[in-house]
Amino acid sequence: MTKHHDQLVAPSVVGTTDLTGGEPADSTGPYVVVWNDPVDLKHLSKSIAICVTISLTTFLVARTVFEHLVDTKSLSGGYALLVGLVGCVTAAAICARLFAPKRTFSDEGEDRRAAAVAELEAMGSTPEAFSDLPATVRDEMHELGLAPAGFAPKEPRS
Amino acid sequence: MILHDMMWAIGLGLIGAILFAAIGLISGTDETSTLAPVTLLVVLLGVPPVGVLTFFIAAAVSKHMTHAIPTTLLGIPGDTTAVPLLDEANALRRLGAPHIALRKALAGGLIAAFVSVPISVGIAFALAPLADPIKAGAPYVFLVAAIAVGYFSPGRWASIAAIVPFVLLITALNGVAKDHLDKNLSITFFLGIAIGPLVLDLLAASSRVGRERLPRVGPRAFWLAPDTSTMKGWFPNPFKVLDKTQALTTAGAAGITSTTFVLSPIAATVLVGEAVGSRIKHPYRRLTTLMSAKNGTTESTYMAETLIPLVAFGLPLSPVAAGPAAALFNAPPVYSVTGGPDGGVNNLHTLLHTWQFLVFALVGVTIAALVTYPLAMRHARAAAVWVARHISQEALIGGFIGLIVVVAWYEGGPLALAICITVGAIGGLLNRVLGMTSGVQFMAYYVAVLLVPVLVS
Repeated sequence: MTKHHDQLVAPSVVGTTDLTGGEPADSTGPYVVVWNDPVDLKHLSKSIAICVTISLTTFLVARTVFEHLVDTKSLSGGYALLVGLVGCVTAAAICARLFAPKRTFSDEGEDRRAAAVAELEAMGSTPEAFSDLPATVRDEMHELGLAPAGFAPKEPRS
Repeated sequence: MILHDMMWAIGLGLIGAILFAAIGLISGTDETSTLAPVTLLVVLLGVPPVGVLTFFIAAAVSKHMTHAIPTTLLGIPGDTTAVPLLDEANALRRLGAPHIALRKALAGGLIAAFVSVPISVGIAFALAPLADPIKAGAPYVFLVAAIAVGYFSPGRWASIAAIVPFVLLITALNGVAKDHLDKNLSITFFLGIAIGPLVLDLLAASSRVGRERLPRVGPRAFWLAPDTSTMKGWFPNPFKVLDKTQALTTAGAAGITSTTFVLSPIAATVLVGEAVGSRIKHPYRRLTTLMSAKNGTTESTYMAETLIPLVAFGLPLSPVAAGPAAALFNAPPVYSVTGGPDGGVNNLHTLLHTWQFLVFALVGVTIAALVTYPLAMRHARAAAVWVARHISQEALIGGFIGLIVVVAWYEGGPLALAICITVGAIGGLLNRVLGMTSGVQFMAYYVAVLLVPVLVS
């Protein structure tokens, strides 16, 4: 999640043109954060156009059809709304196929274990504090490999 | 009759739980802008009151469970209500134990949901004698509520000052609607407020000046620690996932916070976090206990804020009731807070008995517990990876805009859509620039609808 990491994985071919590199990732990245997640603005505008067109058309067609089929007006509106919702979901599914997420998956190395124990000590964990903990909590920490060195795990109950 | 009600409740509860389990996985989705419009849709489609209640409760509890997945595993808040959990979640992630963070949060949330429903309904029952005076003074009560919610919002005095122009805006737009459509709009305003921040982001992104202000980033990188622990059985017992102290602390915090309905879930969660965290020395124990107690508090406050105003008054007098749960109170032409027989109120409050609230809210929690909880406990990692890889933010935003357009058009054609965008743009601006949260704006809407006509006449 670091900025450094964002830059390492930035692809070279993307929507906007100002991909200069070398600058901090949060000022020159190819994507813009909209509603808390990065998007490609060209993809976003296409996606909105597709979704609005499909949903609204579905709704209006459904309303016209149901007005002829159903007598009660509020009921025909409700049915049309439901069909419109199906239109929204379908349109969103199409856009999910067309536009890939702007996220990358990375695996971290295995030397995290030692780093985790060091991290816990930095947060204020001491061997004495550990031995004061209830047995269940100590077992949980053993399972995670977070117990301080020199504390053997309790014999498992059968 | 009871069998008929139960069928509706279970059917709608299942739909709510499954749909919102999926929505919760998508990071960044806001509860007000997802749960509110879909609940509204359920009401407008003519689902009976028990079905509406069970749908809402099952959906909310379910979404709270799955939104803990991106929060703990990916370090991205799954919802605005998950933001207070982020510090502990990130610390446990650095310790290589994100799955422990998730399980503690889920177990805590489940216990809290079951504790809070009976307590909230009980408190509401005790408050019932106050119902008549509160209904009689409703227009003024909403003004007080708007000021109170504004005071606790990030904008504080600015939020309170902005109530006046915002109320005038709504009054004016409603007047235009009345002139041209021969009816007032309500869903439209409500959607506009709910999606305000999204509308503002989209407008900013389409402006050359605004675009420069939006943060530019590369692809969002995420990583997941491998899940080494093995889960036994289909239903991981929450009392085994938590140790005894954690279960008791969580249940206690949930019990206490279920009695309040004026604090926002976020504020209550932060308070409980301070109170619990300061008492535990060992960092690992503190972090895991906080995950459980804080997530539990979010859940219990949420339930209390929905159920207490609904059961006791039938008026949306809390931030959750006026926001995500608003359709349970006001969804014309089906439910309304004005013009009905009982002090103007015609909604779940008048349509259901107190025991039905208790039973069907518990049915909702149980459905979420049986469907979403085991899935979230067991398949969290795979689900988080699938969503992050396959559901793009572009598709999500497109789908939501489509939904808003259809629902606004349904209420009042192109004029309603234009009003919805107007309210969204201005509400979003007030939200982002002044810190006037959507809760304050929802309260201001009720001030415009209930108090302004009284003052003007």
